[in-house]
Order: sequence, then C-alpha cells, then structure tokens
Amino acid sequence: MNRIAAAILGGYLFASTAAALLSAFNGPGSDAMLGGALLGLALYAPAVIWAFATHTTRRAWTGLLAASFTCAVLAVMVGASS
Amino acid sequence: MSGGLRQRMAWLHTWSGLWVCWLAFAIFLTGTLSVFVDPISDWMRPEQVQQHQQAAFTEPLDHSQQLQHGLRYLEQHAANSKMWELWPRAGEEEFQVFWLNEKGYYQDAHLSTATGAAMPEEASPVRDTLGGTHFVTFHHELHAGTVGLWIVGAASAAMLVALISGVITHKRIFKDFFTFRPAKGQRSWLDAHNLAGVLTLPFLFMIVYSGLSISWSTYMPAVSWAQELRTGEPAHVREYGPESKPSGRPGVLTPLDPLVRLAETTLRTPAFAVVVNHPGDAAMTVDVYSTNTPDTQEGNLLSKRGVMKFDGVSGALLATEMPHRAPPNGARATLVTLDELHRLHFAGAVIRWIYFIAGMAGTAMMATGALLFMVKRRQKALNEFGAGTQRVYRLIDVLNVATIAGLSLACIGFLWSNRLLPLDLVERHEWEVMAFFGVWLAALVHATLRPVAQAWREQLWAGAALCVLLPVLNLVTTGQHVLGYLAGRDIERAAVELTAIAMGALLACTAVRVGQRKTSAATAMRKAAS
Repeated sequence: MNRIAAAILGGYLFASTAAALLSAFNGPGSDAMLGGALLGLALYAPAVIWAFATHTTRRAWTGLLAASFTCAVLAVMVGASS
Repeated sequence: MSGGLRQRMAWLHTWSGLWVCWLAFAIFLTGTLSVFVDPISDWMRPEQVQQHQQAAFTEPLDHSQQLQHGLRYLEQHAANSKMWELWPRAGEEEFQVFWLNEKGYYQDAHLSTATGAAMPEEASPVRDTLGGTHFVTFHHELHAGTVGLWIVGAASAAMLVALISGVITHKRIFKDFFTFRPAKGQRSWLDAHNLAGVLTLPFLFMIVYSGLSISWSTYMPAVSWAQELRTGEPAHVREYGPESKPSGRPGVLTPLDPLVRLAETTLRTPAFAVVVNHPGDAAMTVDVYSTNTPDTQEGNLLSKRGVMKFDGVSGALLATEMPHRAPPNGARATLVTLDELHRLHFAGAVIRWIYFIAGMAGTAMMATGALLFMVKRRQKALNEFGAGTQRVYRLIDVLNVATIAGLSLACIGFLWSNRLLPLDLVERHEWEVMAFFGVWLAALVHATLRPVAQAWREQLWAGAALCVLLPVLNLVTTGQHVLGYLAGRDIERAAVELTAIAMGALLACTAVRVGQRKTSAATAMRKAAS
C-alpha cells in the first residue's frame, strides 16, 4: 500500500516538478508551460514503474522526493535568474 | 510482492491492469467508434441531406453584402464585445455572426443575406441528436465534465504503467508474437492477449500519450502554478478572445472587403471566418481564416487553418500563416501534431480504418486481459482476498460481462434509441444518452442476476441481434436502406450499417463459442468471449 502511494503521489510530484523546471527555462507564455507539461506527462508512467522496480519502498519514497525537491529548487533558481 | 524485477512487474501489470481494464475497455471501445464520428452522426440524422463537395477555389468571392450586414448587426447588438466573428458564405441565403458576451461566452445569430435581419429560429427538420459526438464525449470525459476528464486521465496513466510493465514482464516478445495456440484454454487467452498487445504496442503508446497531451493544462496544473509564482499574474491557458490588449482609445474599423479579398487570394480558399479583436478600439486587429477542405488537406498532416492578420484601423498586413503549416514554437508544434494523430482531423478513409482496426485490437487486448485474470483463477483460486475471495471473483466476473458484452450492447442500443424515440421529445438528445446508460445499467443488473455463462451468452446474442437488425430497423422507421444509400453514393451511411452487421456477426460467433463450451462443463468459461 505504501509503495502504491509512493508510486502514485511521489511519481506525480516528480512529474509536476520536472514539468515546472522545464517550463521555467522557457520564460513566460502558454507555449513555455506546454513544453514542460508534455515532458511531465511523459515522465509520470516511468516514475511509477521505477517506484515498483526499485528494491525497497523506502528507496522509492526517498528517490522520488529527492528528485522532486531537486527539480523544484532548480525551477525556483532558473525562474529567479531569468 | 517480492522476488526479482520481473515478478514485481508482473504483479504491477496484473493489478494496475485489473482495476483499470473495465474503464479502459469502455474508453477504448467508444474511442474506436469515435474514429467514424461523422458517418455515425450522418446516419443518426437521416433527415439531413448530404452536402455536396465544394467546387475548387478559383477566385476571391464577393462577400460585401454579408460583411456589411454582419457589421451593422454586431454594432447594434454587441458594441462592447471584446471580439466579433463573421462567417461569410457567398451564395447562401443566410450566414452566421458570433460575439463574446460580457461573461466571456460565445453568442451567435443567423442573419439574412438579403436584408441583414436576424432569421427567426425555425423548427429544424433534422432530429435532435448528439450523433457520434456522444461517443467522443464519453470517450474523453465519460459525460461527466472535469471529473470525468480526470478519471479518464488516471485510467490513461494506469494504462501506460500496465503497458510498460507488461513489456518488461514479457520474456520473449518477438518469439511469442508468432505463437498462437488456439483452443488451449488459458494458454490461448494469454497468446491472444500478447498478440493483440504487441501488434498494436506503438499505436497504444501513441494514442494514450497523445490523449493525455491534449488535456495537458488540466493534468499538469503545476506548470501554470509555477508560472504564477514567478510572474505574480494568473496564467490563463484557456481563454477565448484576443491575445492582444486594447489601447482604450477609440478607432474606426477599416473596410473589410479588401482584407478578405487579399486573404482569399493569398491563402487560395474562401474565407472561413473574419475575426475583429477589440472592435472600436484604436488597437483593434482583424484576422481572416482560410477554409479547410479535403483538397487542401491532401498530403498534409496538420489541419491548422491559414490566417492573415491585419491592423484593424490602417488595414496594414501584420502577419501571414499559411494553412497546414506547423507553428514556430517547438512545443506547440509537438502538441498540434499529437493532437492530429489522436483526433484525426487530417485523415481520410484509409487511415481511419487502420485506426479502427488498431483500436479494436487494443480493445480486444483489454478484454482478453480481464478474462485471463479470471480464467487463471477459476482453475486455481489464489485467495488474494482472504475469506472474501470468491465474492470478489464473482464481482470481477459480473464486471467482465457488464463491461465487455454490456457496453457493446449499450453502444448499439444507442443507435436503436435514435430511431425509436419519438421525434418531438423535449431535449431528445439527452434521452438518447439516457437510453445508452439505461441499457448499460440493465446489462449490469442482468449480469448480477444470471449465472455467468448464461449472462455472457444472452448479452452477446442480444448485442448480435441488435447489430444485425439495425438496417431492418432503419428501413422500418425511416424507409432508408443500404442499397438506397449506395445508389445515392452515400458510402458513409451505408458503411455504418454494413459495419454494424459485421460487428453483429462477430458477437454472434463469440456467443456460439460460449454455447459450445457449455457442453464441456470443466472448460465452460474459458472461452467466455473474445
């Protein structure tokens, strides 16, 4: 159950922050948001697969949360510098 | 869930597949039918006279009277609107104008070409129906608005997960592709499931991902939240109306005739729509859109209209986008391509049939997957649900019947309701949709009341009968029939009935096989359906 939650929620968090990061590179406007969203939608399923493929549930949670956190921090930095 | 990667993926494939398979089956079956949305809509409007093909474009048309009447009407009725839209149709007795009202919604009026007066609403001679659009709406949001859109999105994500984990689970993907062992119970079901899945694998990835992409702004709100955080302004994605901002100073609209003439000459089609952004403002702009026809579409993937943008006061040309060309932004170009691949605006009959067959194969993959789950467990219960296992298995059996046979029945029942419901019902199109859900609900109740083998047989036979008798129903209720359609070169309506007969034959074959199995009690359910 815990691993399912890691996959669904953690995976979605990762996909969303990765999407936000890519869209931050592209400046304002709906075209920039679009590029990030397309990437995020493509990343969600692989993220879920990874959460089930990795050995322990703890790794699934920490891996996805760490990746999400990194993406979010980078997105803020990129957004602030542009 | 222990063991190696393959075991974990097999577990993931089974359970992510199982909970989503009925929903995915429903989305896929209706999506496959949506490939032929226009022929189905035509068949469901038997009163409608088929439009003849437009003649090839030779020279700009004379729209002056309609443009003049349209502008006068809009000035009188929509002076404060952010956007006007005129659809000139040279040679026709009436034409349409649209405007955005204060709430940001479109309003429209039909105007007479001769007088410019609004035409009274006549009782339409064509029956009130959603037509094939019903299948499209069900396919992408289950007739449940945003909630439905999210449910379909979650199902799509689960499908991608089931696809990837299925591929990883599958040890010998190439060799097994050439393996089919019919009439071997569980083994045959697995072979059929693999064959349908592997054959259509690229199609399945493409269709599910492109489907998610079309509704990206709903499924990935994070990108607009991030943008709002950065800019401090709300990031609107879907907003009708002009992209430019008004100046606040008054301006006088340039004559539209020369702009439309120039656009028609450059884009080489009659004007589809003339849009005035911020009418009456010094910063107003005019966009003239081209008409798409099968002729202009020929050889092009994108169905994007051409447009010429003008300064609304001086009439100076600001930009030209030729029809069927990709937008300059890479992400936008990707999305419009994915959208095209999913919604097939570009496609002719051949591509639509390929999609139909691939969609049917995908639908069959989900059906065989759902059945395989139960076939395995009927031989040897795995007791995944403890004491309640038998009850859960019974529930899965019921859902299999009600979804696979029941939805097929509901789809053909929808076409029957179109011919059987009285023509003067208020909101008649809603009644047709209710008939669709009513038949489906009845199938569910029936499946819960009958033993599973009988439920399969009875629903499959009922579906087969409705499919095969559809042309008879049409003949009795409207007097129209396949031969008449063919004689009138109405291939599309004829094809709807012929396809219904073919689908009926398929359901009947399945029902016969279910019946044969009854003789051998031990294997009674292995061949429950296909």
